[in-house]
Amino acid sequence: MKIGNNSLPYPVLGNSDDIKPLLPEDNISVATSFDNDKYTFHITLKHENPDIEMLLKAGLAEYSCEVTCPRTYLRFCKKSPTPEFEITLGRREVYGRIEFACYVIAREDIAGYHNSGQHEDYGDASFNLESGDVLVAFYPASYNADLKYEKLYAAGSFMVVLDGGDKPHTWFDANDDNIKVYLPHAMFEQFRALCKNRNFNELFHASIVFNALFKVLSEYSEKKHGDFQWAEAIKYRIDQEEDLHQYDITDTTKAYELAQALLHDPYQRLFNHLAQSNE
Amino acid sequence: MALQPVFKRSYIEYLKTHIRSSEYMGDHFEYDRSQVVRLYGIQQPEDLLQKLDPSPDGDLKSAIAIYEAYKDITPLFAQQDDLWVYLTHVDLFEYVKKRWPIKGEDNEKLVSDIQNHWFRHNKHLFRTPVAGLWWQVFLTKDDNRENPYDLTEVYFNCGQDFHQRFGELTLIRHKDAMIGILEFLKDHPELTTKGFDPRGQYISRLFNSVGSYKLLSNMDKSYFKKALENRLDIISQISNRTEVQNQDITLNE
Repeated sequence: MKIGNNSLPYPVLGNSDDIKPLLPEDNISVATSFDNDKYTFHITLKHENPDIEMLLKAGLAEYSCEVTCPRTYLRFCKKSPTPEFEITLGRREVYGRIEFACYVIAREDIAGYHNSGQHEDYGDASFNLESGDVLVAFYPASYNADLKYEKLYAAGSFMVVLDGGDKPHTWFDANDDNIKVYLPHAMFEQFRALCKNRNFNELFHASIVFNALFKVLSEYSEKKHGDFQWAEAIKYRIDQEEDLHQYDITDTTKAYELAQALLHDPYQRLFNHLAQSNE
Repeated sequence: MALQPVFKRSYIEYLKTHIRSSEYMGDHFEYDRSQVVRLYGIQQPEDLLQKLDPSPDGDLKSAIAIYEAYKDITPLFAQQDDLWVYLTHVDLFEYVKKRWPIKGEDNEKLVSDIQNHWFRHNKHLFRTPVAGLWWQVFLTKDDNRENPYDLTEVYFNCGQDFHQRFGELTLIRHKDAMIGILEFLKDHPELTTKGFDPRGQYISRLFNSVGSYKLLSNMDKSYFKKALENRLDIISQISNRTEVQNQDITLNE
């Protein structure tokens, strides 16, 4: 479920400002480890609400972690009386993004629920909750299985050049895990011969790669492209690299600047390379 | 048994971008045999084509045969195109052509038809021949039953509109939800014998509505079954889509 900006008929901690104080910024942490066979996720949750803590201690509520992998149709919930989860997933069960949505859920019907921190709009109202109703919605977390994080800095990790056959012009396809650049057949054969020469890297980055990246970023749609590995790779880099923190992949007005930043200023690199070659 | 052949990924990309409708009109597909590799650990089943029924009513039989032939593949492998594109172009070409005849009026429509039936459907994996059938069995099979395909049969009896509607919901990924809903339908076969589509629409609307405030994946199958049992009268009386669209979904028990 996605609570998002919905108003539920009772206050939920973590949903807008239904209950104050809000969840702490570090309300969820996920530590990941993996080996050849499996991924293991250690999830720790935190909240500071005494009324909800009382329900948890009384066994009327419990922690619940919903695990989803859209690409392999995986979806299940793990429950816990404590705010820690250890979740193991076989490497062959998952592909692409794995999503973790954690909650505190009512274990049984609770009559007359009232939270001392509830928003003034709820007044002094109390609520009858049913088993399964959400009391706390922690921040969502995700991990991308099969994303080779250490290789993300190379454009080739999320872009591939292919033979476009009879079509007379270059075209791009962003509707898959890699951004695909299709070159007309004759041009593709030339590319294949030339790309073995590393001296042409800067030229290709400043032309083919930059154009492709700019186009797909200017047409980016989170709904349409958000699950693809190339989008995950860019989001990860934006999160990790200080120079990219100012960008948001969903802001298509900044597509040109973002494409330049991801390729570390391809025009400057090209001119530097040409200047060196000219010496 | 030989190891299962599949196309190289680069060849799949090549086929996708070089679709010529004439190549799909014959009784087999001509392909470059140098572009085939063998899969380690996956056997090529014998006589699979003969076990499939290309009539629309034969989907259940075909789906189970495909699933049984490849029941040991992992979800990771099943969501990739490698196996399915080879099967639709080679081993099961005849079946795909009969089951989903190509009927585009112009070349663009023909190419679109081919893309959707011999490669991955542009809307949803469930609509992809062969792959879609495998996944629908995988998600409805219940190993706790004497006949693990008991509820799969109920699912396929509900008709294609139901498959597409539920296949595209996240609900189908939650096994308990599907088992609970299908057990309810098995207990009330009169609901699926005729005109099930609007009732299926009601059921998906109901759980869409509940899912907006309740964590459905936290609930076990008895919750879903009970929710439908409590609304049996409403569901029984639905006979067309207009009734569903105008219906207020009662969320309280």
